[in-house]
Parts: sequence; structure tokens; C-alpha cells
Amino acid sequence: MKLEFTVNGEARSIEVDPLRRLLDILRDDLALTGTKEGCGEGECGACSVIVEGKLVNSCLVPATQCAGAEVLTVDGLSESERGEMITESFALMHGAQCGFCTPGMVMAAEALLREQNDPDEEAVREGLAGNICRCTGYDMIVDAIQDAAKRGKGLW
Amino acid sequence: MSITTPIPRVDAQEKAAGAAAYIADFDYATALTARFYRSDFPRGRITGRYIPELPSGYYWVDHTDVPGKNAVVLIKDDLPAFAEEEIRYRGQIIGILCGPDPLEVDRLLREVAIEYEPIEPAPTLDDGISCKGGAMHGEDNVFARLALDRGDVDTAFAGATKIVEGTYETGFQEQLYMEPQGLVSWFEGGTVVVHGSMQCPYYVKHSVEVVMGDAARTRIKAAVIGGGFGGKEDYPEIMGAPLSVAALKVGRAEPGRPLRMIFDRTEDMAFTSKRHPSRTKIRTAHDEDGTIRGIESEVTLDGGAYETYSLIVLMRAIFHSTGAYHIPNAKIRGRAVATTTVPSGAFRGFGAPQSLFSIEMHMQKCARTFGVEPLAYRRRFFQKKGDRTVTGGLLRDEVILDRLLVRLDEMSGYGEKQKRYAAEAAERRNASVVDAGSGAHRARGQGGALWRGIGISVFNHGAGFTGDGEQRIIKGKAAVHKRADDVVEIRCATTDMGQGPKTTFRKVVGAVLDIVPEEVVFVEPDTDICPDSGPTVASRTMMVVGFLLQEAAKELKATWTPGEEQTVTRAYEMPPGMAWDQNALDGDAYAAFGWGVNACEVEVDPVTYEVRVVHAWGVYDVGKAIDERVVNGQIQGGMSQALGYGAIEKLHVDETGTFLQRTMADYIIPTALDFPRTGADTIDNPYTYGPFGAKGMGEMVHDGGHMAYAAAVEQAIGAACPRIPLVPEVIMEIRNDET
Amino acid sequence: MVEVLRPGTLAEALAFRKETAALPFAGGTDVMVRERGYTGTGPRIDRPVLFLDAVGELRSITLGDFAAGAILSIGAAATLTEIVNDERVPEPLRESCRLIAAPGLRNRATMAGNICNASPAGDSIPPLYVLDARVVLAREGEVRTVPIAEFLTGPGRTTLRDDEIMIAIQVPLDGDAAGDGAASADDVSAGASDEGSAAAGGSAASNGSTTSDGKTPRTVRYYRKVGTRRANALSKLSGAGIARIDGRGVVTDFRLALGAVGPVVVRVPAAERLVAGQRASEIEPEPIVAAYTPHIRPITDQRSTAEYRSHVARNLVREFISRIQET
Repeated sequence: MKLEFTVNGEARSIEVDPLRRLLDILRDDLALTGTKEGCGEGECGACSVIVEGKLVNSCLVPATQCAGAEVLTVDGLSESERGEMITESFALMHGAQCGFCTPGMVMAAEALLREQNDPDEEAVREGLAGNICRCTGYDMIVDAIQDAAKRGKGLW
Repeated sequence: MSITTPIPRVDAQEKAAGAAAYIADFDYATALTARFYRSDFPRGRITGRYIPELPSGYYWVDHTDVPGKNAVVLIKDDLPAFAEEEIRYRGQIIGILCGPDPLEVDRLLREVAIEYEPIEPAPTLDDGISCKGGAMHGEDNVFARLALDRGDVDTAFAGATKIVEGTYETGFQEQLYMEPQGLVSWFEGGTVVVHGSMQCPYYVKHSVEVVMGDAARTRIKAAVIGGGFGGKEDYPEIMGAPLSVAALKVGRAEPGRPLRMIFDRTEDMAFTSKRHPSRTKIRTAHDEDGTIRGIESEVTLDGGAYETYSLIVLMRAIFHSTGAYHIPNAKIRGRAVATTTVPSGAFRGFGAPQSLFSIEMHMQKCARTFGVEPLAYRRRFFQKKGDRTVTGGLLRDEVILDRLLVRLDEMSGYGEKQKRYAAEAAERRNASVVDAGSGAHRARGQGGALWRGIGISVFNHGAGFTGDGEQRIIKGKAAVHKRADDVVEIRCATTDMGQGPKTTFRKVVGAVLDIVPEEVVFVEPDTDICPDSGPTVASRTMMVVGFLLQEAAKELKATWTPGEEQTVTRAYEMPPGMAWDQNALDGDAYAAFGWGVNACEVEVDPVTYEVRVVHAWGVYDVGKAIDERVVNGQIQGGMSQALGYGAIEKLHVDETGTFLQRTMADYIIPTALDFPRTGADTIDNPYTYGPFGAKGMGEMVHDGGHMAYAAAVEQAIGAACPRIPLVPEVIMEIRNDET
Repeated sequence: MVEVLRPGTLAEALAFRKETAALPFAGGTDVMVRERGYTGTGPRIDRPVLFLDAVGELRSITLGDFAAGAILSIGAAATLTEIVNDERVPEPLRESCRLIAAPGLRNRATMAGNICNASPAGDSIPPLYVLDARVVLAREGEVRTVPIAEFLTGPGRTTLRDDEIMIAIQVPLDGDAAGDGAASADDVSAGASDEGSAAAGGSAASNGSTTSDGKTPRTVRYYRKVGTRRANALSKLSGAGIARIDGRGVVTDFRLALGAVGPVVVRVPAAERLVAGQRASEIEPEPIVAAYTPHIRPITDQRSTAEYRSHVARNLVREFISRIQET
């Protein structure tokens, strides 16, 4: 099928299998490798992107359901002011260790901050429930997101 | 600015932005997809192979293609790179199929067929011990047997007024690094290159050299690594040796054509190595007042189908079998047994989390037996400076457990809570002697009374390779290289899999040379450029390699010549006074120990036996923290893994030895909501032969959480908890057995 | 390449379904996992796929006043996030949806998918049983409404026909009134919620009018998910309950459903009748537990054991009763 959609603000038109995963489209067809594959079954959140304003697991979204959609990936988000704020906080607060889950965490953080711009610890943890990290024990990820909310006051 | 003061993590923003390049992110545009063909039966002898006719551009690779020795060298070399006749576990690698279209490779793999004569599998430790289906290793299925003897155990037991006995069990644990295993390999111009996610580039190099023989020189390059925890210590060799053989075969036809092998999570979970399950029997001989006169301990590890690392995991297990305690008379026996499961391998702690669990739960039992509060009981036997360890090594440095415990009590209120929860438990016992079945809901009905408990654990962890291994086997070298533009590079084979050396090594070198850490360059490990500083394992990164870099940087500073290229390389030297006899396993098993104390507070739901960890704390002696936030990040992450190990990470095998929990939906690791924030702290106790006084700590943070958790659950449910994972099903069984 | 259609209208969807018996695909969060291939090879679906997420008629959650009382109709393409955010969705259904997976998954997954997947551990299903929900199934020229318990016949098995799609879930809201009707009828599947008063309310708190002796009638809602971990977990078992207690402290309606303790959700009318009519404070739990026991026949699998499920399921019965007894 011909898939026409918007990725990181840019109109895209590509020929793909209608069941091709959004994850593969982003990584392989569009060379946007910021989005990671951790499990391929919606359990780990490493492939999180924002589609039509909603956080989703891109490994579970087939091409057909992306038609006409607006997709935001970590590659695009990190170039925005909000994205820079979040990624900087991950460095300041050591919210990333191996870093493989981190792009997904950043997307989950963006989705959360859009809904609550000053989340308490519990809300941050709820917002990250679908994003698995094996390195940090999550504490410094929570710190990073709260730090971004604080330093980036007014951005969300 | 103190070296401990945190700086921003040097590589974190790039990682957060998705710009860091993990192996799957590299654009190897012409790469062929390579996949393993694995046995779909657990045990037997191959009698025939059917390989479908392959379209042009597709390749089948197996043991007949190996130019050198068909073996994966992992301490032992008993695991073949490709199976020839014998199959010992479901999933053993038989061949590689590769080609341009992943779908076609997938289809062709399903057409491969293997004929075989089945042999009865031996999936469990007991099956392995009884040689079910016949021995698969030697005559008794025992890969390794080790013994330690100190003092006079027989006299200690003969004179004992009381003997306490217990059996303790720990389960499999999956590393579950977030990035699945992945390697890319190609052959061109006489060199086979392996690039990918690996902890130990030189380990991969050695294993590839063995399968290559004279067919190729080798070069190994590490990409950014999405977590390891030991899981990328051995597996990249198990994967890389056969893959490099395939790269050679393809490269001879199509020079330079890369083979790309990125595991699906399902393959990774099913077939990569896990933590050794263990069963430990402990007997202690006591005086009237509970004093421990002697200990007998028998550690059995489930090694899986091939020996690989089992000998040295067993070594570390027995060397930690008396924990942080001074017990003058000890008889320790250890063995690693073959079963028809995936070969067990490296996982953070490497045998220590298993044996430390056993000794700590045994201390709990002793404390109960003698009616003493568990921490007060433990304190009577703490090791101190000048004591001899279970291997006869001398503790040369100050042991500061008492100071760690003062801090832990400040943070946790352990002393007060321990008393309070003990009183609550006693009250419950008196109140609900009534009945077992309905007592539960009444307790809850009457004001939602959850069962509360707090537990503690005390432990140490030997840093670096065992004994004289650093000097005799590893011979680590690390370099600082100053370019002509006066930019300083760190050159070593140490990888940053998340534990932070890209930040902390820069801090060490920067601090010596008065350079801002961010301006020091960390060269991605590449065996053509970087000297062999040894593997990234065994809590040796900062203490051993960091020290070499510190010393090299000092020399560079002394000889600094502006505008000139300079390289200073430092090689490992054993600290003075350290002595080790590898045959007798006698002497200083480790150059230094890190020490830790953990506390954990839980609430058990009497309706479902679900446990909520309310608080967790860890206080450590790591010598000196090179970056407070890096160290606390290790403490918090290690606590999460250890609590997962103790509480939820259940991994069982079926009657063939195949894992039953095959996906991340069924093998459960902690989410952000499972465990609370870990209260973390360290107390300085600088070590002379570590950079700025730092000792190893990367594994120690996984050594204590599971015992503190189990101890807390013991108090909450009023019964002994001698096995982990302590999932609600197990807690229910323990409660039912009690009542 | 498989044939796919992502229509904007129900008519197109029904025509395609009839013509091809295509796989209905709403959020896809189960299908994409069940049919997944090795990384890089895409999903292995070898039949036509009918995407339902763009069908306008299926997206909404609407309140309808039917003869039998207020009914909330949840469109088959409404996501769990939308359901969780809708205060009209009665408890314990809403809570069960809130505890499914995690935000990213709830943004795609649907309740219709959770039902049609027909897993004995499907989290929204026990609440639907106690709410006497019905599913609305459509094919060209015909719409039928089926009680949830008749729709689900076993693990992975439903009475959905090859030319049908589920278009909505109907949840009666009359159960929220503190009415004094009898307990559910014998036949669970008969849609036992039609008794009594019609007052509707979405709140989980007790509601109703004050009666002659001055006590307020109340409704107790119960939901318990026993998962493999504290969040983003699959269920080992679960329990959902609703009970109504009148102004005299008498239980007038008692409904309890247990999930993942048998091939389908367990609801036991005979046990429910034992409770109804008793004064809440006087209920003896053990006879009630005994009435459930023969129906609790769980299995051992990779997530839990039969012994645990069985033991804890009976504890859930006790816990629900104790909640009723709390003042």
C-alpha cells in the first residue's frame, strides 16, 4: 500500500506492506533509529512513539492504521525545546544508564507532561508503567522527568 | 570539586535523544540476515540433516565449515560452536542460515529438518545428579567439584551443644538487558571483523580466533551496549564464534558482505545463558549462647548443558559462602552439575548472590533458634581487619560494617521497626491460632491489617578476578593517549554497558590531568586500537582498569610534552603482600572487598499473599565513590534487580528443560511501580590500590536485596523463607505448611 | 500481501466482513502479539484484515435510556483510555480497565478486543459479568444482543459468527441504584439486571434514598486483580463484585464473578441467592465459600498454580463478604 502520513512534522509517502509495523517503517524505511525494539510485543515500551497525540507502542501498530496520522518520534522530539529539556534532564539526573529504554522513556515523559505539567512521583511512575528499564531501578528516571518539569516550567 | 561530586552523565543526552548507535542502528545496507538453526528437541544424537535447496545468495553454515576448532572457548571449551552429533538442550545451535530477505530466511529455516535418536532429558538439578538418561558429562554429570577447609570442623561439631541445619534454594534469573543480543560480522582482506553488543571484546576475539584457526586474523569492535549484567559476557562468544564462521564462508564468495544477526526477544529469552540456580545445605555448630563454632556448607549449582563458566561461578560461590562473618572452622564443598537446560552463565554477582542468600537466611534461622534479634545475632560474627577469610586470606583493610549499620538505621529506623513488627507478629500469633483458612480475611476485615515485616542483610563482595587471576590470566593493560593536538584519549577494552565508565573514567583521567572530564575522549573499544584491559566483569572496571588509567595519567602528566603525540600504557601488578595458591584455593581470594548492608520493609496481603515492598535501603563501602550519582544509580538499579530476583522473577523449566516463561509478559521484571525508591548511601573507606580509593561495587549492589526482602517476609508471615523467588504461590505454600 | 480494509463506515465494514470473513482488528494489541513473527519479518496474518479503528459509529460511548433502564453503550472501537476517562462507566468495570497493561497499550486496546480475545484472564470480563452486560453483534441486515456469558464459551472461543463483528458493549446502569429487587435470576445469561429501579449513577460510592429507619441503602463494589506484578501485569486471577444493602442492612443483591479460575468466568447464581436476603452483619462466609468451591477449577500455567488460584479465589469471596460487612 501507499502510506501517506506525517513523521516529525514532515509529510511522507512510502510504499509498504499494509501490516508492516510502524516500528519497522520508522527504523528501516525512514532510517529513524532513535526508536528501539526491546521486545516486539508491547511489553517493554522501548518503541514508544506518539501517534495523533497519544503514546503508543510502535511494534503493535500496522502501517494501515498510520494512514493520515501524525507521528512524533524521539528523533523529532529531541530537536524541540521540550525534547531538549527532557533529554538534558536525563543527563543531569542520570536517568539513562545503558540508554536503550531511554528514548521510549523520553516519549512517555512527553506524553505525561502534556497531561500533567507538574506530576508528583506517583504520577510519573504511573506514566512510566509500560516502559521497562533494567538498569536504573527507575528512581533517577523519575528525578529526570520531575527535573524537566521544573526547569521547563511553561513549556508544557 | 571532589571526585565524588556528580557531573552530568557524559553519554546520556545522546542516548535519550535516540542518537547513540547500538548495533541494530548501524546502516549495514548490504547485510544478509543471519539466523541460527537450533535443535527443537532437548537431547539426542543427530543421525541425519535435511537442508532445503537454497536460492542463490543464501547460505547454510554448520560445523563442517569451521576452519579451526569447533568450540566456543569460555574458560572451558566443551560447548561446540555448532553441534555435530550430540544435542544436550533444546535450542542448541546446529547451523546458520543467511540471505538477503529476512522472510525467505525465516521460511527456509522452517524447512530444515534434523533426524535424531532421542535421549531422555535431565531437566532438574536432581535429574542431573541422578544422571537421568545417562551421564552427559564425565561419569557423574559433575562439571566441577571444589573444597575449602579451615580449622577443625570435626572438633567444632563434636563439641557443639546445638546444631542448626537448613537447605536454601535460588532460582534461574534472566539478565533481561533491554537491548537483545546483536552482532554483525564480515570477512574482507584476510580479517574477520565482529562488531556488536558485547561486554568483553577480547573474550570474543579469543573465541573467534579458536574457530578461525589460521583462516583469518580477527578484529572485534564494540557498539554502544544496551545493558549486559553478565548476559553479554559469555553470550557474544557463543553467538560470535559460529557467526564469524558464517562470515568467513560468505566473505570468501562475496568479500566484505556483512552478516547481521539481531536477536528477537523470544530467541534471546529462550536460549541465552541465565544465572545458575543453586541449592545449598548448611550446618552450623553452636555453643549454648548461639556462638558459631563451625560451619559445613555444600553448594550445588545447576550448570546447564555445558560447563562454560560453571567452575569459576562455583569458585565465587564458595568463596562467599560464609558471607561477612568470621567462622574459624569451615568445611565447604561445591559442585556444578549438568542438566539439559541452556548452559548457565554469567550474571551480576556470579555465584555470590546465591551463596550469600544461603548464609544470610541461615543466620536468620540461627537467630530464631537462639531467640536473638537477627541483626544483633549477626553482629557477633562480623569480620574485622586482621581476620582470615574462608580461603585463609588476610583482611588488610578496615571493615566498617558498624558505621554502615549506624547510617542504615538512621535512614530506615530498622531497630525500632524490627521491635514493633515483631510485637505485631506475636500479637497475630496469639490472636489467630483459631484457623488457617478464614483467619486471613478476618485479619484484613478488621481494619485491613496487613502483615508487616522488616529485614536486613549484611554482605561483602570480592572485587576483581579471583586470586591471582588478574596477574596470571588477564594481564590487563590500559592506556592514555595524547594526540598531537593535546587531546587525551582513554584506550582500553572496557565497555560502558550502562554502568558508567564513559563518565567515571573521564573523571579519573581528567582529575589527574586537570582536564574537564567531558574533554577527555573515550575510544569505543576496538581490538585493533585498544589494549586488552581485560573483560568488563567481576566488579573490576573501576578498581582495576580505573587504577591503571589513573597511574598512566599520572605518568603522562609527569612527561607531558605539548604538541607531541604520547602514549602511556600501564599493566596490572598484584598489590604487594597479596598471595594466592590456585591449586589449593588458599590465600587472598580477592585484592579487596566491598561491603554492604541492606534493609527492606514489606507488607504482605493476607488475602493474596502479594507482597508490597514499602521501603528499601542500601548503604555501602565502595572505598570512594567516583561519582555519587553513578554509584547511587548502581545501588538503586542493583536493588531493583535483587528485589526482582527475590520477589517476582520466576523462571521454571518444563519436563525437557525448556523455559516456561518465554516472553516479557510471563518473565516478570520490575516496573516503575513495583518497588519504592531505594534509599542509597555510601561511606568512604579508601582503598590504596584503587583510583582515588575506589573499590569494585557493580555486582555487590545485587548481593543483598533479595535476602533483606526474604528476611522481611519471614518476619511478616512468621515462617522461614528458605527459597527464592518468594512469589505469592510460594508464600502460600510456606504458610500452609506452617499451619 | 493480504487484503486489508480500513473503512470509515459500519456498512462498509460489514460488507467486507461478509465477503471475506476478515479478521476484525480494533486496537490490535492482542492480534499483533499473537501473530507476531521474528523481528524484521512482520506479523504472520494470512487472512484478510478488517481494521475497525476508523469506523466512526464504533468510537463513541453513549448513554441510552431504554425501557429496562439506563444503558451505557461502549463502542467496539473505543479505547481503554477513553473508557477509563469516562466517568459514566460504572465500577468495577472502569477500575478493571485502568489496571490493564499501561498507558501506551490502553491508548490502542479496546474492551471489545479484550472480550473477543476470550482469554479466561481477560480483565474487563468479570466486571462485565457482574454488571450483566451484553454485547451487540452486527452483520449485514441483522443486529443481535447477547449476554456476555452466552457470548464467551471457552478459552479463545466465542459465538461470534464469521460474518459478524462486535459493535458495542451494553452496560446496564440500573445496577447502581440501591434498589431492593431480588438477586440475579437463576439464569445468568438471561440478563438478570432488568429488575427494579431505573435510577442511574456512575459513582462507586453508595447512593440511594434514605429509608424509614434512617439508614442509607448502599452499594458495595469490589474489584481485585491478582496480577503477576504491581503494574503492567497479566492476571493470575481476579474477582469483581457488586452488592446492594438496603436501609435495614439486608443484602438485596449480591453478584460476584471470578476470572481465570476456569475456562470461562465463574458466576454462581445459587451462591448469590444464599447471600441475598441475609442481614449483612450476619452473613456466615464459609457456607458461601463452600458454594463457590466446586465451580473454582483453575489450571496451573506459566503464571501461577492451580492451588494458588483456587485458594486465593476462595479468599476473594471472603474478602468481598467482609467488605459488605464493613460499616
